[in-house]
Amino acid sequence: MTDVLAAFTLHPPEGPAFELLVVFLCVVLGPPLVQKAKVPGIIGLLLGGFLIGPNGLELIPAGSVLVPELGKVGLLYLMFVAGVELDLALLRVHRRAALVFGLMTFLAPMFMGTAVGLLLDFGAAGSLLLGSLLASHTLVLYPLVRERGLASDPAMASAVGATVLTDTLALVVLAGVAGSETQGGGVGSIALQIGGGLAILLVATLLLLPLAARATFGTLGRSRPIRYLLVFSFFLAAAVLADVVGIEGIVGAFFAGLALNRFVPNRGPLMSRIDFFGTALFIPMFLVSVGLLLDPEVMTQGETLKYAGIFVAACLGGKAIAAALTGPLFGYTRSQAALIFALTIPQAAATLAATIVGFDIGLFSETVVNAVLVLILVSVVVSTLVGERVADGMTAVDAGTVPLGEHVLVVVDEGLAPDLACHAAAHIAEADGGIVLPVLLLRSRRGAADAVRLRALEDAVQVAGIDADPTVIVATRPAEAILDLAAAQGASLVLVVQGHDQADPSFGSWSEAVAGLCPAPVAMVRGGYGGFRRTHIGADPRVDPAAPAVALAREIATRLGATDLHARPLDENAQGLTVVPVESWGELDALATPADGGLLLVPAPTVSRPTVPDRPEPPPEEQR
Amino acid sequence: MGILRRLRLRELLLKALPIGALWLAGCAAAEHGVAGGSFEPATPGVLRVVTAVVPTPGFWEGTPERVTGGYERELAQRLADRLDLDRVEVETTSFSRIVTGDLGGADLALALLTPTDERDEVLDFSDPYFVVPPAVLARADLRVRDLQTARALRWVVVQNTTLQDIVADTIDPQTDPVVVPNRNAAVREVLAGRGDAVLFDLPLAVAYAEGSRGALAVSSKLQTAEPIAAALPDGSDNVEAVSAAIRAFRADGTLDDLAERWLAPAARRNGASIPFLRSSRR
Repeated sequence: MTDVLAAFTLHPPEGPAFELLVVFLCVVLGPPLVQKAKVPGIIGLLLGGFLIGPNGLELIPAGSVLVPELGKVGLLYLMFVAGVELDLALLRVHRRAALVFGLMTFLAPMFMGTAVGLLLDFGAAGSLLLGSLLASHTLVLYPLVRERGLASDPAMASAVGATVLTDTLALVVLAGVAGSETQGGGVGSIALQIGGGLAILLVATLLLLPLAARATFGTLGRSRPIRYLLVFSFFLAAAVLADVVGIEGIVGAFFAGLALNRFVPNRGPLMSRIDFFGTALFIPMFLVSVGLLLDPEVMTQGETLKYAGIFVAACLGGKAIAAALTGPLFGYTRSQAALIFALTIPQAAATLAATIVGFDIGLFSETVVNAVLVLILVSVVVSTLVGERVADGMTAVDAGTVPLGEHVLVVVDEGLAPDLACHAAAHIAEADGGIVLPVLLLRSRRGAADAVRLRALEDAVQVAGIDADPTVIVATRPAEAILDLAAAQGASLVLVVQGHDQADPSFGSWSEAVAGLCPAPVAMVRGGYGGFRRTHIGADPRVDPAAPAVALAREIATRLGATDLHARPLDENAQGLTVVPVESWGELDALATPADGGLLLVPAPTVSRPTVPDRPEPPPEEQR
Repeated sequence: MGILRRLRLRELLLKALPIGALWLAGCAAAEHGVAGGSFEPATPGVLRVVTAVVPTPGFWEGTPERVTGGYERELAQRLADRLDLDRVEVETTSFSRIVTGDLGGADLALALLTPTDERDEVLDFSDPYFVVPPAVLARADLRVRDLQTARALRWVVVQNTTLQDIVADTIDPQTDPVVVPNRNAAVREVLAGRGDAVLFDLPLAVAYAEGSRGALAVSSKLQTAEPIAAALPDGSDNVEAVSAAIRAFRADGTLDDLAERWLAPAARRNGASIPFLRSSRR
C-alpha cells in the first residue's frame, strides 16, 4: 500500500488551462468582493491580477506570455468598445457645447499633465504622453447618470459628446508620441510617418470600414456568429493596419469603433454580443493582465505616492477647471457643472491603455505605471462619491427629441413583400445608430404557411443588414396590437407594409388607424425594392410645403439618400422610391403604386416631435 | 468621414498642424527623463558590463582582450547610448561568480542569464530581451528527436546554469552528465567524443553548430522557453532604467535589428524550422 501511495505523485498545476482558470476565478470573484466595500469592480480585477501575478501568489509566473498576450487583445477590444458605444446622436444634438467642453476638458489637464511631466524631468515625449493620458477619461459614471434619468440633461449630453473628442485627441497624441519614440529619423520623417499613418488609418476606418460593413452585413453577416466575427475582424484589421503604418493598434481599434458606431446600435443584439464577450472575457483579461504589473513594494514607495499625488492633483485640477469654465458659458447650474466634473474625471480605459503603451515603449517606468494605477483608483472613487451626491439633488430630465431612427418598427402584413420596408428601416435607423424591430402580422395561425412567411421576412431582414429576429403577432384587431407594441417598444417610427387593396372604403385600413392614433410617426410602404438611388419626394402641388407631413417626408427622404428635397409632381411611371407627404386619407387611397418603383406614404404625424435646442435655457437652480 | 465633417475636425486638424510640428520637434529632440527611471553608473559616464565567456558565438565575438561585437556587446552599447553614457567597458568573470551575485563592481551582467528565484535573491533582473527555448546541440551523426533517444545519450552540462536543471528534470538521462565550467568547455567535450549532446539556448546552439563545420547539429528544441535578461546588483536603483530601455528597444525594433545582424537565420523566430523534442518515438 505504501508503495502504491509512493508511486502516486502530484504535479504542480501549470500551463494555459491553469492560467486561464485562475484568471477566470479573478474575474468571477474579484469585482463582487470589492463591490461589497463600495469599490468599483474594475479595482477588483486589478487587485485580482496582482494577487495571482508574479508579485502576489505567483500562480502566473513572470515569464508567462498567455495572459499578457490575451490582455493585449483585450486592450484593443476595450478601445473598440469605447468607440462603438459612444452616443454620436448626443454629440450631433449638442455639438457646440460638446466641442467647447471637449476641447477644454482635454486641454486643461493636457496642459497641467505636460507641465507636471516637464517639472518632474520626464522629457518632452514622456510629459506629453502624461498630459494626454490625464486628458482622456472613461464614462465610468455614465450608467449612474442614465439610471437617474439625467442622460438627456444638456450638460450630461455635452459631457458624453465631449468624450468622443477628448479620447480621439488623447489617442492622436499617443500616436504621435509613440510614433516619434519608435521610429528613427529626423523631425520631417517622423511627421511624415505619423501624419501619413494617421491619414491612411482615418481613410481606412472612417471611410472604407463602413462600406465594408454595409457590404458584408447583408451577405456574409447573415449568420449572427459570422456577423460578430466580422465586427471582431474589422477592429483587428484596423489595429493591424495602425501597427503597419506605425501608429499604436489601440488608435486603430478606437477609430474602428467610431466608424462602426452606426452599424452597431447600442440597444441591438450585436452590441449585446460585443458587450457579452467584452465583459466576460476580453476586457477583464486586459485588466487582470495590468494587475500583474501591480507591485505593492513599488506602489507604497515614497516616489510612487509622490507621483500619484501630483497626477491626481493635475488630473482633477484640469478637469475641474474645464467644468468650471464651461458652466457659465452654457448657463449650467452648479450641480450640472459638478456632475460633468464627476463624469469626466474617471481615469480607466484610455488612461490605462496609454500608460501601458508608454510602459511598453520604455517611456514610463514601473513606478509611473503604479502611480497611474493609484490615480485610476482615486479618480474612480472620487467620481463615484461626487457623482452620487450631486445626482441625488438633481431631477430627472425628459428625453426630449427621440431621433426618428432610434427604434423603427416594421410591420409586415401577411402575404406582403417586406423588402422595401426592411431596407428603408435599415437606412433610417442607421443614421441614428438605432435598431429595427421587424414584425410579422398574422390574423390566425396556419402552420406551414406561417413558417414560409416568417422565413421570407427573416431573409428580407438579413439581406437588408438588420440585426434582429422578427417578432410574430397574431391579432384579429391589428391596429390595437400594433399600437400596443409601438407603445411598449417606444417606437420612434412605424413603417407599415401596405397592400393597395386593404382599405375598406367606409372605415379605411387598419394601418390608417395606426397612423391616426400612434404617438410615433407612421409611414406606409408600397411596392418593391430597387435601391434608393432615385429616391425623391413626390407631392400634389396643392400640398402646403410647410405642412408637418412634408417636413417628415423630407427627413425620411434625406435618410434614404435623396439629394433633391423639392417635391416633384406625382408620376405613376416614376422609377425608384417616391416619398409622398399625404394630407388626407382619401388622397392616400387614390395613389397608385408605380410599376417600377415604390411608394413611402407619409401622413401628417399625429403628434409633433419635440426638438431639443442646441443651447437650452437652464432651469432655475431651486427647481432641480 | 461623416464623423469628421460633423465634428469640424478638419478645421481643427489644420489649425493644430503647426502646434503638432512644434511638438514633434520637441519629441525628436527629447532626452529620456526619469519617467523611464534614472541610471546612476558605478563609474561616471561609463557603462561597466560583465560577461562570462568571450567569445560566445553571436553574443560576444572576439577575444576577452578585444571584443569585436555580438548581440549582447552591441546591446550594451545601445544601452549606454540611451542612458547618455560615453562608453562601455567590458569585463569577464566566471558564470558561477555572476550567478552568486558578484558582478565585480560592474553596472550589469549580460551573459545569457535566465532569472530564477534563487538568482533573484542575490541579483536584480531587468525585463527580458529574449525569450528562447533550449535546444539540443549534438554530434551531427545523432538524430535526437525524442525523449527516449535523448535519455540514452551522454550529456554534458554547464555548472550552475538553469539548463543543467532542465537536463536533470526534463530529460533525466540514464547516465550522470559530465559537468563543465562553461559553454566552450561543453562544446569541446562533445567534439572530443566525451559526451554526445549539450543543451544550450537556441541561438547559441545554432551558432555553435554553424561554427563546427558540420561536426555538430541542432537536433531539436524543447517546448518551454526561457527569458534572458540583464542582471544588476541586488537592490540596484538602475533596474527600472535598464528595463525601460529594453522595452523601448523591443518597441523600436532595435532588438530585431540586433538579432538580424548577429544571430544565424536558423535561430530567428525561435528556430521555427527546428523540430520539438517529442515525448515518444511515434
